[in-house]
This record gives sequence, structure tokens and C-alpha cells, in this order.
Amino acid sequence: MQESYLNTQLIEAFVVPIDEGAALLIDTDYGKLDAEAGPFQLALYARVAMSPGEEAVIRSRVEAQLFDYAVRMASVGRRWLTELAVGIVELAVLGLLLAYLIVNWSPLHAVIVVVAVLGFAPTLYRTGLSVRHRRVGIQARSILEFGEVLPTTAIGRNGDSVARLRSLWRVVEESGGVSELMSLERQARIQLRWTAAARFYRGLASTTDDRRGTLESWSRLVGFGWNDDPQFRENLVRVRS
Amino acid sequence: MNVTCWAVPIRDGYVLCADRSAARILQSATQRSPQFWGFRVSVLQPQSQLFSAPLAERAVLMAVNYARLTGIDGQPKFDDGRGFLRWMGFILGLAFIVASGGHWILALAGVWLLLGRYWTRSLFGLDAVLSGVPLVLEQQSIVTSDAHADLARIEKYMLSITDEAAAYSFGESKARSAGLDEVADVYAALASGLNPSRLPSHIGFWVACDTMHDPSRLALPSPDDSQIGDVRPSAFKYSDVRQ
Repeated sequence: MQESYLNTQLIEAFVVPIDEGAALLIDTDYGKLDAEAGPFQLALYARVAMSPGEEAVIRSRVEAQLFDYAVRMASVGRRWLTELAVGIVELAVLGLLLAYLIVNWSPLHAVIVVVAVLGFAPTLYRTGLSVRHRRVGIQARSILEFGEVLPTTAIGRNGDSVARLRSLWRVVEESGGVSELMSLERQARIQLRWTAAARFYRGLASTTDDRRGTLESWSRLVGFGWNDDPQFRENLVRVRS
Repeated sequence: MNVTCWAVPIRDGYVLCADRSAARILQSATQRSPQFWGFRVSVLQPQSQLFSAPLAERAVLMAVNYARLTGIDGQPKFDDGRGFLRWMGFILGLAFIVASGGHWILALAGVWLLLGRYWTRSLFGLDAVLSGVPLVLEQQSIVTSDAHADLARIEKYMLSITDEAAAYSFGESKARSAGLDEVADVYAALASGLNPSRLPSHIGFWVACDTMHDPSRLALPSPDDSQIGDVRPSAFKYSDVRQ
């Protein structure tokens, strides 16, 4: 491990406790990385020193995640004006249909209104997100064109981040080395106000809780989980605790 | 591209297999600028270095190439619910057309859901995945070795067990609990009685302990020696992975 270079874009990674050991949490919004400003470097926050081999695994897994993300997001907002125009046409068709159903109101039409909204809303919602997040698409395309991850790992130096990580590990130490995901999530969300960690524990719990997992995959299917990571389990990096 | 490759210690040498991230990195490479197509392979091994650099390099590049060729299925696909929405639109569109009874507004909504929306989107290429260029590995790769603490620990535990199958079973359980799935898969295959030289390619490639028998052979360099690629032993010859 070494100090970070001046012009690097740091990707902050934390070795956080989970119910069975430790795992890697990335607390960097890939959509905000500016690939044109400099290469990316991993900044690792860990309770114990990692061996060079462990760092190398973490680096390559993070690189895989980063470029997966970039490929997935590269088409977002690419032709946002056209997408907006198609969305307006779709909205017009829905408006016309709703107006017709309301003007000629009958109890059966109430059912058709619900069905129509179900049919049109997800696509309209996705179009709205795509237009709104077009900047994410620009950044993703920039990552694909200019992005490079340095083959070295920097030591995480941010004081706030170090303190948050310490207090998360304290939960495990106080509970005698074993901790439940729910208590870790609560600590991250309420005590530390660490959104990324809370979301990470929630995602981890949903991969083990079948009912919760099914609900989340359904919400993803209809497009409401647009920002969720569909490859959570694949991206999970278990680390020595 | 920073790719990692596991050198799993076994009784007669090592089994080399690419980390699962390798296939994903090489898969996304087709969308990246070709100037970043050169890759550094970090071989993760316990402290001991029992195989020589040329031997390791050949096997590493085979393992990485295998991951590249098998892990890629055309363009990357991400299921973000588009298929589900397409089917829902199709069913609702049909229902609207049937229920319209000839009224044009309901029929228009039905036709839009059934065909119009997807025809328009495909006409303007709104759902198209960005096309990449085929990956050609022309740049020479840099292969280095890194010590992995968990691998070293597993190797140490296994050395104390005399029975081969028992040692591999033990190694598998240790690797699984440490989250090293690739390592666990190798031990699982060996524990089932498979000969290392007959391991299937998706599990890994076996290399013997040749530096142990011939100390004049160069061991794989550590990153301090050659991470950037400027400082290399003069006798060191890098393999080419030209397609």
C-alpha cells in the first residue's frame, strides 16, 4: 500500500464486518468519477493490513465492477432528446386514453384505467430516469474511453471514513465477534448515517432472505429498482477479517 | 487492465486459474478504448515460489485466455426488466385491441403498446447496446506474483495432513469459508480423486514445481521488480498471446 497520487480519482473501498467475516464495501459513486481528470486508484480502508495478493484481488474485482457499471450505463441518455420525444408521444397516447375513459365513465373503465397506467407507467418512468440521469451516461462513456485503474492501492486517509469504519467494527467487538446484519445496518443507518453501508447490509440481507429477495427482483423487473445493482451477489468480495 | 490469477498450491505444484473478475474485465474490454487493452496479470500464490516464470506465464495466459473465450457470450447482457415490460406491453396491447370494440382511441393505445412503442424505440436505436470492437490482445502482458495471506494459511494447514484426499477436502472447506471460491473448486475437484494433469480447463491448469528441481530457473518476479515493466531480468522472455 502507498500514498495516493495527486491527480488520481480515488475509489474508496472499506473492509466492513458482515455476519460471516468481512466483505468489501465500495463507497464511491461511479457516476461521479471523472475519467478525464486522471486515472483511478483504489483507496483501501481496512482494520488489518492486507497482503499484496489480497489487495490485487480487490483491485481486479473493483475494476470488473467499475467497467461492468460503465458498460451498463453507457447507453443511458445517449439519445435523450429522441427518448424524450418518444416519451411525450407515449404520454399523449396515455392522456388521450385516460380522457376518453373518464369522459365516458363506467365501472368497467375504472379497471381499464388501472391497467392502462400499469402498462404505460414503467416505460414513462424509465424514460424520465434516463433523461434525468443523462449525465451518468456521459460519465460512463467517458470511463470506457479514458478510464484506467492503477495497479497500486492507496491507504485510505479520510478521517471521517476511518472513524466510521472503526465504529462499525466496534459493534462486532462489543457483541463478542459475531454480529447480525440487521444490527450492523441499524448502526450504519442511525448512528453513523452512512447510507452506502446501510444499503450494502440491506442488499446483503436480501440475498439471504428469499421473500425480500423476490420482492426486490419484482420491483427491479417493473423498472422501479433502476438504480439497484443487479449483480450484488456476483460483486460481493469476501475479505479476511 | 489488472487481472488476477490464482496459483493454488497442491501436492505436486500448483493449479493456475483466472479469477472470476478476469472474464468480466475482458468482457467489458471490447467497449473500452484499445489503448487500455494491455493487461497486467497478478499471480496470487503463497509465499513459496516453486514454479518458474516462463512456465507460470504460459499457464497464466492460458488461464486468462480461457476465461476470456468462455466468459464472453457476444455483447454483455444485463436483465433490467426490459423483457418483462415487452411481454406486459404485448399482452395489454392485445387486450386493448380486443376490448376496443372498434373504437379508435382504445385501439390506438393497444397498437402503441403492442407494436408502436418498440418499433419507434428500435427505429431510433434507443434500446441498442453500444457496439464494441473485437478484443485483440496485441500488447505484451506483464505477469507478476503477489503473496496471498489466505492461500499461505491454507497451504500451511494442508501440509500437516498426510492423506492427500483429506488434505484437499480440508483445503476446500477452508477456502470456501474464506470466500475463495476458485480455490475451493480446485480442491473439490482434486478431493474427488482427479489427477492434477487431467483437471478440466474451467477448473485450472496444472504446473509442476520445476524451480525446486532446477534452482537456476527464474521464479516469477515480484511486483517490485517488474510491475511497471521497466525492470526485468535479461533472460526473461514474455509470451505473446496474439490471436
